[in-house]
Amino acid sequence: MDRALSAWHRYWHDFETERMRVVALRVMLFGLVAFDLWVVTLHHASRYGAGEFNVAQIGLLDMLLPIPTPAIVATGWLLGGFFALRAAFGVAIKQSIVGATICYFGIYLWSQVDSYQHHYLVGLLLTICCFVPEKVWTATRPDDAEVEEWNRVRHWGLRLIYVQMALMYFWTGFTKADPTWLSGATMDQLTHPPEVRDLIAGWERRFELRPGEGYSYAAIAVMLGELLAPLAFLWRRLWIVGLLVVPWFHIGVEILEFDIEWFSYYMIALDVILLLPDRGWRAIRSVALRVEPLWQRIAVATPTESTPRMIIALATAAICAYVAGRIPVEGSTLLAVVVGVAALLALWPVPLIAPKLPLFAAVAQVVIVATMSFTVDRAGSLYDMYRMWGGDLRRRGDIEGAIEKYTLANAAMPGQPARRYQLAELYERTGRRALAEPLYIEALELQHAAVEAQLRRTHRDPNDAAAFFELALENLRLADRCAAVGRLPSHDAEEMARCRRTALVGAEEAVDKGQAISPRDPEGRKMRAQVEREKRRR
Amino acid sequence: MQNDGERGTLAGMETPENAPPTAPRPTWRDALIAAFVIIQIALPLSYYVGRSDSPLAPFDERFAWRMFSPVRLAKCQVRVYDATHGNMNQTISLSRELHVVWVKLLNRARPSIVDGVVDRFCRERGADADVRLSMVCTRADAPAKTICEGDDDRNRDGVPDAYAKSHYCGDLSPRDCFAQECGEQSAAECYATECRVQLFDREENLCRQGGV
Repeated sequence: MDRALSAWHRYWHDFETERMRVVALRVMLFGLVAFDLWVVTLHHASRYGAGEFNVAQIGLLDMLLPIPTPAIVATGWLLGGFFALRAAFGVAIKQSIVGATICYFGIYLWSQVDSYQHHYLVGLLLTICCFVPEKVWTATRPDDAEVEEWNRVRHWGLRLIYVQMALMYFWTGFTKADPTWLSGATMDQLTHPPEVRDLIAGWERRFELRPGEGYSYAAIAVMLGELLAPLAFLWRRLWIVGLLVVPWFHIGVEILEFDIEWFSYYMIALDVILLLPDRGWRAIRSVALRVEPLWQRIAVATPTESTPRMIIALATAAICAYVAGRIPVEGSTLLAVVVGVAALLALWPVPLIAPKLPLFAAVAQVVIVATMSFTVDRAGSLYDMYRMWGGDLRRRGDIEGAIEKYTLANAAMPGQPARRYQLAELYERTGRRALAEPLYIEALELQHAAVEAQLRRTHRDPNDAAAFFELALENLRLADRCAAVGRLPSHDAEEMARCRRTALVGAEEAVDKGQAISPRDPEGRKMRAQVEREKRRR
Repeated sequence: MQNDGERGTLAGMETPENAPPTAPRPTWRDALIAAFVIIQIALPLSYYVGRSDSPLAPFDERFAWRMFSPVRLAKCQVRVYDATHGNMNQTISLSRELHVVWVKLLNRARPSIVDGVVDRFCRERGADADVRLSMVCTRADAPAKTICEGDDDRNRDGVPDAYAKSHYCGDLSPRDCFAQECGEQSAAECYATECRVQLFDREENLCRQGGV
């Protein structure tokens, strides 16, 4: 028994690795979580609680928690990203990791409305990270620490991350030990890009395989590779083999254009960071050490007295709260308060928890909040959220609610067609023509500009089929708007009919050019059908 | 008696230095690790072993790490009927009642969603509620069967057209391949039995069952 307990203890508690690996894991995992939440996930917030309906991941939560609302979910994800990026920057690491985990995994568990398996995996990994102490995560070496000793870290949570990855790959491979998967039929159905299908057909001809047999071999290879991956994660000597094999599954997934959000990026980052052998990290560390003098200068520039540190903390909290509060999302007040308090707590000069580099922590937090605001704006996340929210309300018959959300969507996208046309339609449907007319006209003008902008994109890269299909789509939208304005008494119907015909010709030409570049692209076929349908409409 | 230095142990007796190392006592951390690992083994395993007999059970893959499984490709045709006032053909418009994502999840036959949707419609219709469900889904092994690519027979030769270009017939002729998959059945019968599975018909009032 003692021997088994000793082996257990050695396996979990004596697991040691390079600090550089752990720092890289923190930066990449939490950096990805932050931008994933702001760029990819945020606009899904409108799904939460839509129609007063929800089913949690765990039945008990349905009884314990209220139905989520888009406002609380959007605020939670913005906060989750703030905490995650703070963890990546190394500011109040433990507090930030716990905050990010509550926001990310808590919302995942609250509803099945967004339940990709990678959300579950990331939630589990973040939860494990909560148990790893700050001193393991940090990159800042205390003055009295011996360099070599400092560079090695040891914690059971790190081992558990490897074990979690191994279990995930094992079950994924185990699932594929199934006649249907091994027949290649599933791979065949999942492979859409024509160039990849041509490639596989070419291999089948070259190796004299029957049609479809290539998919079967690919399916077997995927299964074997996924069953090898757990061994690589569990046995250090196989890390290098795993590094050379495992990331390719996820690169393959991107080539095959499976729509699984950022899962491949998470997995490629985790595989490379966890499987790169220690000597690789030692080499990277020797390069990274060159920035240590710069780090020391930042440390020296840091005030040590309490009063200036309090002033820095208060000023930072105020700036962070102000910037967060300006993000145009329902719940921005809550966001501002939590961001401000978290920023203050991370900087307040309390013994034991006060940061060693308060000036860095202060500047980093301001940069993080500014990055959040900028990213959400540039990615159009809030526009997408309000656009989808409005669309859902419209479908479910809540026209006034849809008008409100479309108005917010348009405010988030000034100078773009956005949802002006759809908003005008809703005004018209509810008899408010005076509000509809200027919006129709504005939508038409902005759509002309959108067509011009897309046309310029096709001139920049005349071999980009997708750009031509996008141009066709913009022209089809223009045709719709011409027709709508043509119905207005203030406009010449004949002129607008010409506008519509010109737009349809433009759409047809764009599809012709796109299909000439990429004849088998399904998007091209879809656009062609849409153009033909529009032409038949009067 | 010989004193062995500062620790004051006796010659011939085991000292802390030469005693076999005792294992550290397990702590809450070890319990947490064990619980985590057991859950991560048991939860996916429960998908394969000892799951409920419900025909919906294979459709809940959430915690089983079944990425790109055939079940994920399954699609269901779902209709929900409101027979509260006796009209068995009165359908509930799912897209008007629910967000499109919930409708998609319902179309993937996830049991807790089916349960939640039925529960909601029953609650909304009060004590006399009569809500029924019709759900026909793709079988998990359908992707590996040529008949499941479609039973159209445009050239009317008695063999569905899909067999003419099937990847999965090997060296068999289309007719032999069709016979191997479907035996004596007609194409339509074979498609219905080999490719589709009826999980719910609208015979039962689900509100009386207290859930699905």
